[in-house]
Amino acid sequence: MDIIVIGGGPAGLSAAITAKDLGADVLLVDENHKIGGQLVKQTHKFFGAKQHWCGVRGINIANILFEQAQQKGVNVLLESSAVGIYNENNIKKVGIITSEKYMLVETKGIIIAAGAEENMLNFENNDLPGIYGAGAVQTLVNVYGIMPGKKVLMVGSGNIGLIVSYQLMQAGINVVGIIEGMPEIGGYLVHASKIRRLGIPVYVSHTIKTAIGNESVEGAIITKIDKNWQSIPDSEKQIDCDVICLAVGLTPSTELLSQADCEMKYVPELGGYTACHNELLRTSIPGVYIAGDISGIEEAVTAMLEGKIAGAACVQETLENKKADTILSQASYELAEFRAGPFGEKARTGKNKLQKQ
Amino acid sequence: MNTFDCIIIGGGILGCALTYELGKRGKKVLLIEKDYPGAGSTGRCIGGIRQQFSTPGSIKIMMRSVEIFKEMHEVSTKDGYTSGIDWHQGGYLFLACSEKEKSQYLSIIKTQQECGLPVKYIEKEEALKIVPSLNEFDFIGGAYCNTDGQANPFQVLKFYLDGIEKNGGTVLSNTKVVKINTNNNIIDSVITNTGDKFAAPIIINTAGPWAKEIAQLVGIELPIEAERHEALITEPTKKLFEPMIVCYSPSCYFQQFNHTGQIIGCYTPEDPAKGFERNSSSEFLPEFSNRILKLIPALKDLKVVRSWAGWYEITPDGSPIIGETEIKGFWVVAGGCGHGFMFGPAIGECVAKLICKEDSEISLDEFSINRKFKSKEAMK
Ligand SMILES: Cc1cc2nc3c(=O)[nH]c(=O)nc-3n(C[C@H](O)[C@H](O)[C@H](O)COP(=O)(O)OP(=O)(O)OC[C@H]3O[C@@H](n4cnc5c(N)ncnc54)[C@H](O)[C@@H]3O)c2cc1C
Ligand SMILES: Cc1cc2nc3c(=O)[nH]c(=O)nc-3n(C[C@H](O)[C@H](O)[C@H](O)COP(=O)(O)OP(=O)(O)OC[C@H]3O[C@@H](n4cnc5c(N)ncnc54)[C@H](O)[C@@H]3O)c2cc1C
Repeated sequence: MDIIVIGGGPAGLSAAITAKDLGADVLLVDENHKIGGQLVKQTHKFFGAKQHWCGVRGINIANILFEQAQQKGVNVLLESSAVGIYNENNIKKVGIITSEKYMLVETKGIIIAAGAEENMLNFENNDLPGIYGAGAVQTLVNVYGIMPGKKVLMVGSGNIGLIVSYQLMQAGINVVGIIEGMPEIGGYLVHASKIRRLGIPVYVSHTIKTAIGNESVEGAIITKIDKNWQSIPDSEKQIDCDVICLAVGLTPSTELLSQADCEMKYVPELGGYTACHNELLRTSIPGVYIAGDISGIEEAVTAMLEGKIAGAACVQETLENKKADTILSQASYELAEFRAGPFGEKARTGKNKLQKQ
Repeated sequence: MNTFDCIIIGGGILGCALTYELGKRGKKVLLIEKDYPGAGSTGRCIGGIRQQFSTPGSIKIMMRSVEIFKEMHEVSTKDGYTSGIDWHQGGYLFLACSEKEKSQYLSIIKTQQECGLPVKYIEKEEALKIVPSLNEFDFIGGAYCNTDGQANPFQVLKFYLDGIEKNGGTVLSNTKVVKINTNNNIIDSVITNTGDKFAAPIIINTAGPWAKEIAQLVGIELPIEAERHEALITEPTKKLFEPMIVCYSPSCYFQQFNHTGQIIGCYTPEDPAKGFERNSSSEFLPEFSNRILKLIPALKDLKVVRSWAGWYEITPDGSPIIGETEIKGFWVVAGGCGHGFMFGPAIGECVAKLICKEDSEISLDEFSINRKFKSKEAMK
């Protein structure tokens, strides 16, 4: 192979398509049976600028990208995990476990777009059945049509918490409340207004203290907190619910990056540890690139733009392809423009911290 | 304030055991570790503990280590401790795959039995009874000692670190020794990367694979080389076998943790990478899987959770190097050669006794820093 792309979310898909467009032999590997990463469960329409898929449902973006990839001739391995990256005598190999066998595939370049995993919270009884990540609930409901429960307490009012709450209500599952540690709702106004219209109570400056229940969740105790996240005495409140849904952020899935021995750095703005990388998404190891949530938690649009850049830059470096220049400057411009607003501030700060090194 | 009775450089099993044993004997001790305790080889080892060695010195020291592990287990499972050390005596079975290997074991077993070790040669049928999941491949028997065992290296370190704290010792993590001062061939003090100076009349090099670098700080050349060895661990599974199983053709050794159920194992490569290479090789995972499946086919569907690399601290004859150097007060206690974890507790105790001028039944002469490196440990 010329290039192996690990992870078939929006970042990996667009990296694979871009690299293929530039003439590389590309293998895309994803551990799931459906391609698309987080997009698979995003049944809602994206909003924003036209060129960034506005009005298209997440799941359809995944389908369109997958079709493109297949038409162009990207090799795709589903239900296959990349489990190791090796760099021996200047030869790169990726260890891949398919449903049948283990294989080592030699490659010139590697793009790691493994996404992120959901954060957990510390509170009493947080291992009771009935406590889920918001992404997991969204997958159950939107992909498999399974109801996780009847009364959901959502923890976290960022975009994910708000969107998932709204989708749960649409699916006929009662969201009994949304709690938020900060004094204000975290997500975009459009999503917050929908929640308001549905009349879901939002408890700002609150956190969860305890999950109640023996076999599974039967309720929760929440408490008001001050500016320093200390609970305020006598402010506890019991909520009747059978599901507690945690939408408290994501952390880059960096296991492969550490294993490959990329230089790592902890950047809170990006969601935790990630590999140090330059503006072309190259890690400390030549020929090894990252893109999407793994390089810092953002969103699908930035993931796709990063995928484009990583795909083009990886081809440029490993196959010495000059045609990549136009794609690189165009995508870099769009990405900078997309991140220019107030919502891009965290990513801008985080990425600056990484690149200053 | 920066003066101690003893300073120990390197917080692996040897450094921690020694710091603990010296503190227990009333010494004011300081342990300096460049990362965190266990960051070196100790945190990368697979926790096997055996007494089946080929020389009386090693056999006896390991018989003492087993006693200490037992005591540690008893103390650490009592109230007031959060956890034990996951000690378990499941034995060690060295498979013989040829008549030649069999006769080698038979002659070593004689030495071992003379030291009082309950070890015996068993035929294939008996081996299959002890390990029913063992494949009937072409091995003919094996050397078996049922008092060998296993412990969790992290818990053992924690036991020692708790003990060091209780005895009033000091542990400095994230602190690297960068310079060692001497005065007319007498040890004086160490300087750390934080710019601090700590003085003691006795300074001990327990830096494991880095022991050579530390010795070079005072101009001493130690024959200890780092060599990469890899390991992997699986998800937990139901109990499949009791003993650590060691095979030489092809090389592989592995055991199942009795308390937690995972299978953990390694093999010795034909040509191990020298130096501080810490990346996994692309060969290890598939090759180890093939080798272990030949022995225990029942592991076929078990998932590997992770693999990693660490370092053996290799000496010319495969035994540790222990003693005071030509610089008065500067000691070396290192060179565990892939079995330093199991030696740790007894070596810590014996060296502490030596330093405190207590009597000890166990002689460390076999490991003397001044020995000629002639023979080679046969049970690697
Ligand atoms: C609940 C939720 C709702 C969201 N809603 C929106 C939204 O409305 N709009 C928006 O723009 N963004 C949204 N996002 C964010 C957006 O989905 C992510 O930023 C984006 O999907 C990141 O893309 P990615 O390609 O980096 O990673 P992912 O989409 O996470 O894809 C990574 C893929 O790699 C696979 N993988 C990981 N490791 C391996 C391996 N070793 N071998 C093989 N495969 C591997 C994973 O299984 C996964 O399929 C949402 C996120 C969540 C969690
Ligand atoms: C894969 C593998 C499997 C193994 N399996 C077994 C087994 O089953 N049984 C067994 O008994 N043994 C086993 N071993 C061997 C065992 O791990 C080692 O022999 C033992 O841990 C060595 O301990 P140590 O204290 O000498 O060295 P280490 O644990 O390496 O400790 C040395 C310490 O010194 C520190 N240091 C270095 N330089 C400095 C400095 N300048 N300043 C301050 N600190 C410094 C390091 O950070 C390190 O923590 C295995 C080893 C490996 C790699």
